Amino acid sequence: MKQGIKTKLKVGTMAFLLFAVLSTRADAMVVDTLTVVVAGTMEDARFVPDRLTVQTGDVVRFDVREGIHTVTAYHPDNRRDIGIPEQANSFDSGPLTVGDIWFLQISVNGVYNYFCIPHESMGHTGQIIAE
Amino acid sequence: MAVLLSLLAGSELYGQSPESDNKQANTNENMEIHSHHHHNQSGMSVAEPLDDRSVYQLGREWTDHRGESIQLDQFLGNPVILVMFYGSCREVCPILIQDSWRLYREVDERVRESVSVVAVTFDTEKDTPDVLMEYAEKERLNLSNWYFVTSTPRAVRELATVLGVQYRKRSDGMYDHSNLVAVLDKQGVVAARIEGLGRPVEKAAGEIEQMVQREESR
Repeated sequence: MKQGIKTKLKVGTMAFLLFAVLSTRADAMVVDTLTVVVAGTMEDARFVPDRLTVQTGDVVRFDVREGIHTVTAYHPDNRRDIGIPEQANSFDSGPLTVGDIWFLQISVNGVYNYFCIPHESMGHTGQIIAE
Repeated sequence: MAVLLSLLAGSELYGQSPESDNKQANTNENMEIHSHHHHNQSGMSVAEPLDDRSVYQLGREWTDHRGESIQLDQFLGNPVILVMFYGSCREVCPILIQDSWRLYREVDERVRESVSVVAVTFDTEKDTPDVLMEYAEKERLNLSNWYFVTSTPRAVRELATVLGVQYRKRSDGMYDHSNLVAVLDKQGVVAARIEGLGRPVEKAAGEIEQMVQREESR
């Protein structure tokens, strides 16, 4: 990231400098990628960890190790009461199977409750807290 | 009619479930073919004869999750989203229902009122109307134009065969089955097939909208 800033300063025009400063600010946001493992089948289905705290802007990587699962927002779009910040977009990964990886970017502060469509009734739910 | 009957007579069933399907079920003598005049949901007479490929030729008695007896041909005149599933499935069926919901939601809201969704269970033993009602409530799909439906094993097998859906009951009571969300046109002919899980629904939704718009412009 620092190398990127230096490269921009060498150009020297005011317009580009302004662009570089703005870009630097954007680049300065440290975006992390955190992993949630999706494991188990049927009653053993689980998100690990099932509660995760992230910084807003972080990306959560869902890494499916067993079975068939979804990562689905508690949201009226998915026929559930809203369980994510009102300003956030609903999400539904669709079916994920062994070896699939699905990314969710957290762009709004708040609590995101989500579930697995096939195993919700068995308690296969998770929560992300974005600070 | 010939097309439908040949499908039934010539089909290779995917395994045979224990409840099973007497081969006699697939003969003309035992088919209850409906070929007379029909009535759609609004009670309007539809004078046209059924298309040879119409699923509604199967007839049979069906019961929905409200415990009400229904006939497939009551859906004549409007598009139908048709899916086969079973209530105790904890793997793909909830995703099939979600896919049906995604398709339903994708249809323009004004058109959506004309669309019915019919979810037919494979498990005629466990999925009684009460169980199906519980399922519909849990899935928040006890909506006026959604029907969770059961019938006899024979009727379900016939419908599956016509749709090209294969299924068999396993020793653990669960079912192996193919995954299909079908769109039926106003005559009950399959107009679109979404095979597999989590597939895009936009194209099928567009076809439903065109069906309704064509009907409105007549």
